[in-house]
Amino acid sequence: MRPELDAFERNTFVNCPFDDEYRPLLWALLFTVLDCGLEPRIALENVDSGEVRVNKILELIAASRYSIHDISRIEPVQTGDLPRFNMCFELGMDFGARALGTQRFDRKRCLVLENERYRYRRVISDLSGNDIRAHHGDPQRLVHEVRNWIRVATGRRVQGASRIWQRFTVFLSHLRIVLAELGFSSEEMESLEISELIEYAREWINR
Amino acid sequence: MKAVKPPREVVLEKLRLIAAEQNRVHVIPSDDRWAVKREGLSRASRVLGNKSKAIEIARELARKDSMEVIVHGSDGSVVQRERATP
Repeated sequence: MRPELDAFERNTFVNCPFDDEYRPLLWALLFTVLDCGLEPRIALENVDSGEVRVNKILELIAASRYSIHDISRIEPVQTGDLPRFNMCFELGMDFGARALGTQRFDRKRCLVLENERYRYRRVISDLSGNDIRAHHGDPQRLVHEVRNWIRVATGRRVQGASRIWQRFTVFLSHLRIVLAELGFSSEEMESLEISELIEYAREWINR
Repeated sequence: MKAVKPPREVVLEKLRLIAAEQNRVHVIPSDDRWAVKREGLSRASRVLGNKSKAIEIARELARKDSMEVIVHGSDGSVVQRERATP
């Protein structure tokens, strides 16, 4: 298999919120994808302000057989905020690629996550009929849903969700200890660049 | 907060070393219960409904080998660290 095709079979486009409140869910999601042997691809992985964002998203969609979309920001995080529609927009782009793309794109598979299971019907009813999974803002629940979906979508033998969750918490503690030794606070740990977090998690898993 | 930039190679090396030590016992939220997990073992040693009891058992396990006890919050983060004393 050519290298780019091999990568396509493992690449998982992660389309989710990047706000502070979502961070624990994002980190758990990225770790779960890695621990199940897939490669997360995320718009934040390559910080280049000169790149047109929508082009970057299209590149990631084209390079990824799998995708995970979290549309939970159809509800604003705080009163007075507006909802965020980027995730829904990018989900639509991914659906379009699967429906209208080449034979390779026919094999694309996606998971749609939400905070509550049926709330999306009130704002994006076109998604009705799709299986939307709810995490209720709980990272542990998210690990469970993502792991179960990967198991079915890929046919891979993967570890149980409880084990992945426990491994994630141990990884977090190791990273916390290392960064504390280097003089970084827990608040500073939370502002790690996503590309670095992914690299640290990958190395820890494959050690 | 501006993104922090710890020295990448140093972090990777230290992560490898810490993972190899396997001298910690973790108390981890597990559904509505608490798992007591010793590093290096694939399965949790115990799963209990009571957090205080789980910490107590983790301390007992840690005390035997002078290990560290780490208690995790619902998001997986570290909320408490303590060195068990024999």
